[in-house]
Amino acid sequence: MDYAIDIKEQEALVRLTGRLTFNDHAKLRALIKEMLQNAAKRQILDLANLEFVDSAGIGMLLIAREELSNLDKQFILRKAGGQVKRVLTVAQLGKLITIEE
Amino acid sequence: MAPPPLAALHSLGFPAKRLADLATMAGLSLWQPQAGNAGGRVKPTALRVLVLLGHAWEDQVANTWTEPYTAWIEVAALADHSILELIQRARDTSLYISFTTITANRRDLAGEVLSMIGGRRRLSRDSRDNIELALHEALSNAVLHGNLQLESLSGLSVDALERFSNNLTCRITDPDFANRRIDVICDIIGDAVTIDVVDQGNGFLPKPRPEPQASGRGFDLISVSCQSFRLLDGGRRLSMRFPA
Repeated sequence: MDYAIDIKEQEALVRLTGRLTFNDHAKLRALIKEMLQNAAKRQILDLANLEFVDSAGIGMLLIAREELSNLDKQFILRKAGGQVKRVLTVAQLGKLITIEE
Repeated sequence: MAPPPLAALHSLGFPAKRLADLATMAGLSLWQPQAGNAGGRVKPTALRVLVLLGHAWEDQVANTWTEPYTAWIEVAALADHSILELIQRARDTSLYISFTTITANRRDLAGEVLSMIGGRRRLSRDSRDNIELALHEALSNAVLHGNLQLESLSGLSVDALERFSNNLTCRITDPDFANRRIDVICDIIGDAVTIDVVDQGNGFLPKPRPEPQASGRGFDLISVSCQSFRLLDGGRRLSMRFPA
């Protein structure tokens, strides 16, 4: 998995590419720390170019949501498609994290 | 219809004398790829070759995910009698893989097995996605909670994730854990694909979760991705069935 962050005023847009699995734990920790440190109140994860996510990836997204909510920051998942959308649905992540088309 | 019997033995990174002795003991001939009989030009039913690998994380292993290979055994520190036992297990199986835990953790084994199944059956996009996800989750469970005996990640924090990562690093660098075996046994018969993932841990059985946690969704994903699954041998063997 790779990511790029684009910050505009109150919004940080993070574009994820590739596959998000447990093997990305070090990168995910770095990403969460960046999202905690930047000034934007809304942290949006753009999943349009994410090809695959596993249960560990879902767990790491929940950790991001929890850590961001501790700092009163909003966490939003956007544009999931294909396998990623299906896994988010099966894991019922919409009950815990805001998911936008 | 059952697959044709295993016919030959090949190796990568393995002493020639030991290979020849093993072939004799197993009653298999030796096989070498030559121009014209490698790279998918052999009819799938014509020949089945088992490849013995010194260490299976090396790049050259990627070249063997193709016909006529149907079984892969990473030798690592195994003695001859253990290798012969594994060869025996591979004989009547469509695809058989036996790797160390450290190798299973390094490779994208789910994607590699899927490509081998795809070479034998035309699969829809949905079928491919289902097999890849279920197998990926089964392998993750077998590696992390089976052979490495890691507790599920507790608490929704970066610190908890870091602790889990550190524990993983400790276990995977300990040969007692890293050399445990992960076996993938795949049969493609009739209109079904069955895949068993076997580990050598203490047995893992999923528990109900009281509230949202960072881990514990693997079996949910497996259950929606396959037609049926069973946990056998006290949770050391997960057997999954898919329509094909």
